Amino acid sequence: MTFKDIRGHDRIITILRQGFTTGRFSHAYLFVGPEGIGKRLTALAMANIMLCSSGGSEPCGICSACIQVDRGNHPDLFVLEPEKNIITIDKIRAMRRDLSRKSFAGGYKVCLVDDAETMNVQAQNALLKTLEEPTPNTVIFLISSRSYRLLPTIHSRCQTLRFQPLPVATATELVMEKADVAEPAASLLSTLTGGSPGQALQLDGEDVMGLRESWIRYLRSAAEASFQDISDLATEISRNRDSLQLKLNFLRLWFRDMLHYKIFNNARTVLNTDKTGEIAGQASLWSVEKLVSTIFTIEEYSQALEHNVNPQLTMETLLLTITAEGRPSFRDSNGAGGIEKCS
Amino acid sequence: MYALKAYRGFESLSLRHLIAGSCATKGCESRQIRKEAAVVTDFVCRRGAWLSFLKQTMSYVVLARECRPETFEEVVGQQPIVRTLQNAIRSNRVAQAFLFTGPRGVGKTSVARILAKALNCEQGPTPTPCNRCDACEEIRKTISPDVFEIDGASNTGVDNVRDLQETIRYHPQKHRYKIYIVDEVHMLSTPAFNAFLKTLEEPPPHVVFIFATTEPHKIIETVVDRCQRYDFKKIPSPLIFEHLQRIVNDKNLRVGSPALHLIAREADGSLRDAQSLLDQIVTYAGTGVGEEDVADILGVVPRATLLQISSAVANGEVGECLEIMGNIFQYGMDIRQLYRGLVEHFRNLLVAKLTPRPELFPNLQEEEIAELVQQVQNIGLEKLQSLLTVLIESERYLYQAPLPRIVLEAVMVRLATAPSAASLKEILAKLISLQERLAPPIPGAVVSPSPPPSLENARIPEPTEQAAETPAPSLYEENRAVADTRVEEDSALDHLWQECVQYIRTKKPLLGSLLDHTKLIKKENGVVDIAFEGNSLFLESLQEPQKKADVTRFCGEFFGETVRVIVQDHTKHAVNPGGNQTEPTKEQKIAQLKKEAREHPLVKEALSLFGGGIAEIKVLDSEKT
Repeated sequence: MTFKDIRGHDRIITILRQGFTTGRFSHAYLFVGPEGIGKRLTALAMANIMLCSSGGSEPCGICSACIQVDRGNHPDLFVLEPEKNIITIDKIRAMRRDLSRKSFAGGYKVCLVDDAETMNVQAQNALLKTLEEPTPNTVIFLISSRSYRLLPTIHSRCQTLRFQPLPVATATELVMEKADVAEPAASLLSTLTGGSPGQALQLDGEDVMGLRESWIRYLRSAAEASFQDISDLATEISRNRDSLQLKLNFLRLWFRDMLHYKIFNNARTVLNTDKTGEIAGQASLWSVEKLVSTIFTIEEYSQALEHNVNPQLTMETLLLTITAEGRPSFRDSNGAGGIEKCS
Repeated sequence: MYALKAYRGFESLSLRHLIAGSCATKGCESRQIRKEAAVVTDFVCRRGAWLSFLKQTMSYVVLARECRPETFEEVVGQQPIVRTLQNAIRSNRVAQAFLFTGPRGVGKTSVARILAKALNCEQGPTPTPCNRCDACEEIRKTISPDVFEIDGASNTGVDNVRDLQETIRYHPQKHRYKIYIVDEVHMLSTPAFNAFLKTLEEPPPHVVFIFATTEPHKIIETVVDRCQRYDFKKIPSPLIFEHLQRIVNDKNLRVGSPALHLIAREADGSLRDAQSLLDQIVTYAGTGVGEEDVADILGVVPRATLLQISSAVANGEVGECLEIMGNIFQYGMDIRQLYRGLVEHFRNLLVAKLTPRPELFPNLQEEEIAELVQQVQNIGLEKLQSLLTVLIESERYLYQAPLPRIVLEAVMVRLATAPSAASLKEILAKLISLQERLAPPIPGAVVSPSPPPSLENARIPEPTEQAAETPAPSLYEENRAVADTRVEEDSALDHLWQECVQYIRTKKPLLGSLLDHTKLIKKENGVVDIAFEGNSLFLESLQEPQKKADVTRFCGEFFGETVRVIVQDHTKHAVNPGGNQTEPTKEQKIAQLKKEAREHPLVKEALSLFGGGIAEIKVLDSEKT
């Protein structure tokens, strides 16, 4: 793994490379940014440069160290990953023990904590002292897509590098390279995931085009959707909890597009470029105010999904709420009168 | 020995040369030499490792560690604490246990180390440790045998504390005091804290404890009150700026002061954050750092953009708002940071509207404040307030959104479309004029209580003669007036009934909840006609004489007159409007039904056909009521 294979993070790579060659390399870095855009790859590439025995600014790729890094069994490279979604204090203690020893090959010791936010509070605290003053020649990379869950004391001890999502074009290219996906689907995937090829590849294999169709079908007649329709759609979406958020992104993008269409009155900024007609049609049924409040509603439910809720029920409720929002209310149609009659 | 030489000179000598050389001097047979040659070979083979070893000696120490204060004088922004500690040492009144608390990166651990030096320095306990003697040097390298820096977050258990207590009673090895610095002490478990208590209260005279933590509220009371507590404050940004300036001068870094101002502001009171940022920026931009580099690294939103946004929002230009957002996204800005910038900006606008005093804008230059003041001239205070409220309330949606851009756009739309709030004064003036137009002031109306809010929806009757003359004969006079006069709308009836049920609920809660299921059909001429929705199972229960009497009584109290109450099934009331209180009883009804059945022509026909007699007549349950 080298920097050459990493796309879209030139600025960050420059910072790392310059730091390394000019001898101003920090001992702790925090890589922050959305999931699946290459944070871990960048850290691994940097580790490879540091551990390569050629000592150059690019890994040679042929020395034993490079091969070991490549195969993931370099004795001075420690990779910590969550186990059952958590990194416990025991793992951190073990890591501290490893890092307190002299390095095996005599060079750097590199520690890489992936999904660092899964460290629980105890683990994070146990890392603080090491993070502040590790043994010489130790570099710790913390990688996190939800860095708000890390303690401020952790943030303060690291140099934070913010990774931005890739431009959709770059992400599309990457998706097409990595998976056997046609252009429209790849582009849709990249847009959906907000420029994260990693997440896009997660969705690979699912029928994204078909799923979007069912969303559109539902939204077209959201106001009249029967509970059976809603329940069916909710079942389809919540079948795989891991990609649930990504599937919600369909909805987010759709409402965003409608909002844009409504405001600019043209399809210039619409992201679902192949569905502009449909968006125009549906946008006419919604008011700007309702579109905005629906976008917030989606976020509210999406936050609930991050907790331990029943995805099927949550999705059903969300869809019912949207259905209710989409229905012209008594007040709107009559123009006056605050009381809804129950018939 | 030879191996050692080779080790030192190995960069300039080739492998063969080395081995040959060593063989020539001593003779090839010597086992010693063969062994050394092997060692040399090993070293050469690990040339790469050796190279990295060379790198290691040049290993970089980040600014935050390099610039750790070494004396009390160097500590930034904690004057009160430093002075107290120094005076304590001077007057020989050093406490046995200290608790240092405060946010990240303000100098807790550093002060703890300096205190350790001051106590153990060979020049005697001194407020100005020499930093040259063994004791000071060892503490700086954290290898002192008598200063223990313990990570409270990894040694959390009661056993760790017990181990520690084992060592406490022994005298220090080299220096005056045994000093235990426990960092991150808030992570100790409660049993661990409790195990500390006795020792902490009366430790041996040669022991000093220093606890440091960011979260003092997690430490149990009994530990806190045994320590001398020092609360470290956030460092004001001018002080951080000065400090950064000093570093920059010392290291010849050439960073402009606007850039340093930005860093100092972004560090939010933490010196370590400021130093880390400076480190990062110097790494990125080389030795000459401009403001754009800093903004680039920190992801700070340019002030011009913020002003653009606020002006577009104030003018309600939704499209313009989205355009600006689009540009910002293209630039690759961190959305959450942008949002923080926005909130701060709107806060500044609000303050600029209220009192544009420079000390209320700690992070702004004077001309920037002037720009704000100019912009808020055309925006009302209420509008600014509501915009800020919307921003703050919407932040939670952004917090963990997977596509934060969409949420931000939605927030911008909401801001730009927010109705321009009229000022409270204007609204009041309008209300008063409206009131005057609607009803000329009546003497009675001023003293009588305002009508219940529920009546706002109903048509308000014109003030009648009677209302003006008799000052509220019963508690609900107004209601009665409304009900008796021209209110035909169902909704008004519903509301009236809800009020009534509410009233009954205050008297008899159980009855009130029974009546929740009912509806007021009509109320006229002192007859209250209520019905259940559908075939309710509560109907029977309300038919009980006691309950019925209660309802009659309470309704009477509510409407201020004697009423008759009729309870019936909702489905039937339409066909049986004229019900009265002397309804047929159940028995009478059943008898009536049986009579009908007996005289039914079909039954008669059947009897005559088959020649039988009637043995029993059963009444269906549904027919009984």
